Amino acid sequence: MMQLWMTLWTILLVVSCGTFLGMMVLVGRGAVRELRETLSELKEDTREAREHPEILDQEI
Amino acid sequence: MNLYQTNFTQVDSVIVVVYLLGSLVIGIWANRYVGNLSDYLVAGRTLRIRLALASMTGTEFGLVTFMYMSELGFLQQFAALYLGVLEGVAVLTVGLTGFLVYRLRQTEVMTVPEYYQRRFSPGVRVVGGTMMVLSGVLNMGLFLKAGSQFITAISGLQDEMYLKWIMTGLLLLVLFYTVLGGMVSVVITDLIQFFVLGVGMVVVTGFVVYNIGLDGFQHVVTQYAGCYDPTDSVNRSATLLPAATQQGIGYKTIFQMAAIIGSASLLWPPMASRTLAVQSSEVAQRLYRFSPIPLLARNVIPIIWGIAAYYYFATNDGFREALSAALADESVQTWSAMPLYLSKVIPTGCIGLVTAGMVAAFMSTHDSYLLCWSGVITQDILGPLFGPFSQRTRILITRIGILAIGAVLLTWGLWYELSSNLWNYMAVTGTVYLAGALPVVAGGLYWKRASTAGAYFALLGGLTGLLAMDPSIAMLKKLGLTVSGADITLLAFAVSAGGFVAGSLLWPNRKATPGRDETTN
Repeated sequence: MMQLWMTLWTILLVVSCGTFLGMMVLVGRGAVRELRETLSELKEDTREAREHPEILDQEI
Repeated sequence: MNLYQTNFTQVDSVIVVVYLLGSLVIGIWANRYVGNLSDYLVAGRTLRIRLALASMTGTEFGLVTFMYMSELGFLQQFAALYLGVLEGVAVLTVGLTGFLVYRLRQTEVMTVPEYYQRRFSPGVRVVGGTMMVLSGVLNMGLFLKAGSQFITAISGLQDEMYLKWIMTGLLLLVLFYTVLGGMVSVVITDLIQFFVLGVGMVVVTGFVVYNIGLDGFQHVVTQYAGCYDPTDSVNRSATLLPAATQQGIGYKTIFQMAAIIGSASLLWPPMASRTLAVQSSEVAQRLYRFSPIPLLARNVIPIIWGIAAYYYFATNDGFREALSAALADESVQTWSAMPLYLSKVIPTGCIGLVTAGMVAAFMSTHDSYLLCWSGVITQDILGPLFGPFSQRTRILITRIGILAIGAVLLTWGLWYELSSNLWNYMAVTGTVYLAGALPVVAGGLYWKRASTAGAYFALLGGLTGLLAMDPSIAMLKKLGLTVSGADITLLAFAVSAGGFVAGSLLWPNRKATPGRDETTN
């Protein structure tokens, strides 16, 4: 029984560490580009807020 | 033997301070990207899959997570890994089926209580928001203390005053950049923290495996009475370390954790806020399909560190005696075993990087949680009660809310004394919200007869979970009622679900609720 549990836990440890490393590389590369895109979209909002400050004062 | 012997030097302090100052600068810089309320609360709903995943990873890998998971690894060894399995399976199931999250994102709400109003009534929103904030702030209550104890243990600072000053300093730093930049600041810092934390985790895991060796992990079970079977209700390792209780995990605890982790993976507010901040329902479901990877790692990796700490103290007589003495006089708690171990095996320079990674984990969780709860106070409690407010006023209230929650956290962290393990505290406080939210949201989305009365019963039923907190259990014991936290947690879920069904059947809604969600089919 102990052997069975330890095999299961070893597989879990290896899989979780390996997939996490892979995810870090994949996510890390694309995430910086996506952050730039997000910031440029947010810049549109800030420009709009500067040009129409009255929108921020409308009650919602 | 000095338990606080450490490899942490001034070089490491400099690394940590530089990192903290960098975060501060980014927080100030992010403020320029906040144009309106949506930008402040959900980053304008502009997050794409990778950025959302990095941000969610940053949030879910809190320093408190490392502390409670490594504490479980230290106390229950391999058997504690069942939590990773439960979370991985729960999140993957949601990712594959889209259960709940797909429809919830389709409603275009910014917070979960906003959904309560659409589906039920403004009153349900206020009650639901209040329960969420109560549960969330209690849940966060020991984050500061756990984070500060990590830093004091790893850096060898023993004075109680250091603990208090570190708690205050860390909190002020997070408050500063979160108040200024909102979700924009949170996402940018989360991404940086994702990298710093990731490198720190790889470094620590490498040193830990090198230090005890693969044979050492095997010996934990074969020679040092380590637990490996979560269904076993006896903790064998208690014979070696008196800090561990005799009681093992067992089936009842597994059911308790399945209920909590299953509902938290769907509706825990910081996680749900990422779901609601992504571009579309499809992205929300994809986020869940990939999330089991980081979520599994956040359980498994700290547990490995905890198991290594167990092995280190079990095989080193001098340090084991010093630790046992410190645990007996309560100058140290079991959650400090992992940082005390790391402080001895990770070399100077690397330990600074690791500490910066852990401080990153601390901040990335705090900022998201602070923003989430104060957003709920503004949008779901004060807005419906005293609104309407302008966007400008709402941002101001949210900022004040962040500061107020910060003050509560500092007070609670200094005052509350934990008598069970840290994970139990997190699970029990989370139950107060989760037990009520699960039937209300799931029932609201999938059951036509779900009614406002049922929603009230379910949400208030979650309060039963407060009885599972340590002081309540002690009080019940004095009254002659011996119950465990697991019993009460399961009772809270049953009371809420039962109350929801009974309330909906006995007091159905008389007419269609205005603004009722169109996805309810």
